[in-house]
Amino acid sequence: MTASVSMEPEEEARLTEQAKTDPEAFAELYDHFMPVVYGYVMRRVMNKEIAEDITSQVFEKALKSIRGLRAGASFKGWLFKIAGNTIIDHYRSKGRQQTSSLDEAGDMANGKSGKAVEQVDNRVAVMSLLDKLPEGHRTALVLHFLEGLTIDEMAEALDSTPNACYMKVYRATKAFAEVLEQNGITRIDDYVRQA
Amino acid sequence: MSDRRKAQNFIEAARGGAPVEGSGAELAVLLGTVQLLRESAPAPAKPTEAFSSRLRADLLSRYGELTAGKPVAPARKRAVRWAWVAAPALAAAAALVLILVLGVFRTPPPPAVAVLEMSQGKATVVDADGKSRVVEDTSDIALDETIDVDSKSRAVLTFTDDNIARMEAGTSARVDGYEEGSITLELDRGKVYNRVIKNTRYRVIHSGVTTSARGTAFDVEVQGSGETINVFEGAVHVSWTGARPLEVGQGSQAVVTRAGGGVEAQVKPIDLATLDFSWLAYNRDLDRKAGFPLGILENLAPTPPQGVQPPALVIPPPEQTAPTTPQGTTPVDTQPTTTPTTQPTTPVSRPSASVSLASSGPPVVISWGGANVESADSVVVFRSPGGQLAVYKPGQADSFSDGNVEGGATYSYWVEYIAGGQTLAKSNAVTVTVPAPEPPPPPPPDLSVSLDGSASASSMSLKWGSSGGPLPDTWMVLRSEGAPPSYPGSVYAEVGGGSAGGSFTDYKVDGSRKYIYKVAALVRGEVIAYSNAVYYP
Repeated sequence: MTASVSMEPEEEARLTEQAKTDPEAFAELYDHFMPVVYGYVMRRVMNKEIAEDITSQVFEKALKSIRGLRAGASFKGWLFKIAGNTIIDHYRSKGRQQTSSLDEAGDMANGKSGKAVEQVDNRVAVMSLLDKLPEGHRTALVLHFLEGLTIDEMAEALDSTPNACYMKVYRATKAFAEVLEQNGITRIDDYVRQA
Repeated sequence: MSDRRKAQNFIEAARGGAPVEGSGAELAVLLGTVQLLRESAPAPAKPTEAFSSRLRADLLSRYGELTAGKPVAPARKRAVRWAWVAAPALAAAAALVLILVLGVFRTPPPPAVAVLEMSQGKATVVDADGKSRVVEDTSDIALDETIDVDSKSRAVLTFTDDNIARMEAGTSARVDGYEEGSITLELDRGKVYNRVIKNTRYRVIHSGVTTSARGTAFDVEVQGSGETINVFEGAVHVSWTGARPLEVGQGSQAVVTRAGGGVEAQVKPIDLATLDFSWLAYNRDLDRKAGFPLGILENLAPTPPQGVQPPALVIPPPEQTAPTTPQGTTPVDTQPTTTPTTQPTTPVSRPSASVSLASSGPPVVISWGGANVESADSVVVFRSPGGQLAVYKPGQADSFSDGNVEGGATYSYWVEYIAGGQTLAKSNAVTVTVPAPEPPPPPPPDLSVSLDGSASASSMSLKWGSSGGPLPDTWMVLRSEGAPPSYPGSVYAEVGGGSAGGSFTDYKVDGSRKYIYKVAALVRGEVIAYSNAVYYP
């Protein structure tokens, strides 16, 4: 089961419609998107058992609601919306604080991944600064640049519109660039030469 | 290039597309930032084969059972978009019944004509149905939506055709018309700076007076029952019923007043020193960044190092008239306000400085000048109380806008020219009492909400009514287990407001669990009342 190759939008739309009545079509969607959703949930909760539990809930909710999904909606974006809501419900019900991506990066800094110290320190610094951004900015950057959602998929996931999502990603990147610069982290030299 | 175009350009380039010509250093920084982020993020975790297979098998074995339930969208605070789909009559009737039972009636959202982006603070947007939402970041704006910008806030409205309207704190404006080649804004109060960048018929209307433009930068400020239109670049026409359009060119100002049932307008040159420096500098800086021609704003003093802030205002509720121009505030010092600088009374050969009051605010604006101060290496602006407010190099600025003032308070301002650490010349002091803000309106009477519940094995039906207070614009159904529910943590469903009551049926109940329900009444995103609690089962 792999999900490393993007599914064409037309194929995704066709399978989504079929999955409303055909379990095999749903199975294809599951095979393709479950690892993606699991990876996103794991990035947010940083706990294998909780990630498995939430991922299970996400697909259960998806099956319960799939017949109500409007034609033309992005299945991937919709899954991410369910995942985001389920994660929030989880934290509310358990009264827990969200863990940060710093935790896993911290493991790297402690040498558990065996990376070079200087490279790890910079990655730790960058991820810790990401965690300091406001929630809206962080979500926009994670969804678009790390999880690979297109603008249309983001609009579905965030109950927003493509126009607003363009601005969200742009502003979030500008804010993150400022934070990095204030903390002495920049990586523009390659792009300046190419510009 | 507008921010929206920059955003699209950047995202296309980050995806691997070619950026448009003239993208510049900003794009390089943003792309570098994305590269850093991608390199720094840990690789996504992968599920184990055992978990994947087990979950797959479980879902497929329960496919029929899970898909047989009623379609339910995740309940969130934000409105859920429903798309009407052409369907057989029976399915449409069933859908309508479901909608009425849920107490929610949603139509597809109207198309967006602009994007609202907050430069600072927040705004409240009210749609054509009276439903409001608070915007702290960005929001699409549709036709007939009204934007109310909060105190200490500023907002930029970018239309889909790239024309721009920037709104100052306390401004209320409505997108009254939008079609290809034509935009109309209805301005109720405050001020809006308009950058018409395409061949668009762009109009701003206040109380029957229309300012229309093609390809210009101008602002319209409501003052009492009239308005002032300043044209910074290009030209506009100002017109009203029964009058020939009045052309106002670059560098000119039209002051429109109403007296004896008629409308009068006087056109005169703009004196930048008499306008709100903070507002002009904010727009000048954004225009410069976007590469727009600045017109007379090229002559504006530089923005101080600490930046400029929107004013802190007491904003009247929408049904009241716009605040009147502050009256009755006379500076103690007798320097004339129409002349930014005055001649020193001391002999010409001695260094001297003078300061005059340009606006009693808020914000308070002072301007200054000096004679025989060529040896000065800095100019310092002082205020009492407050101390040193700003330091400039000679010639860097000749006015200062102080937005950090309180209504009703009295301040004195002066400047000192400094050379080698010593005061070369100290100006007179101007003293001003800032007009006191209007008293806030009395609070509305308390709303009382009464909730009833009826439980069955598979659902919980809620019905509520209210009395004694304003009509909420949103009802929130709250549900919890254990502790009593509260807003926003226990939000379960949102029901449209505009009525004194409502109903909602919760089909997602587990008979083996206990739930507590309440409803919360919201006005402009704030809870004004909670109902009593009801319990399931």
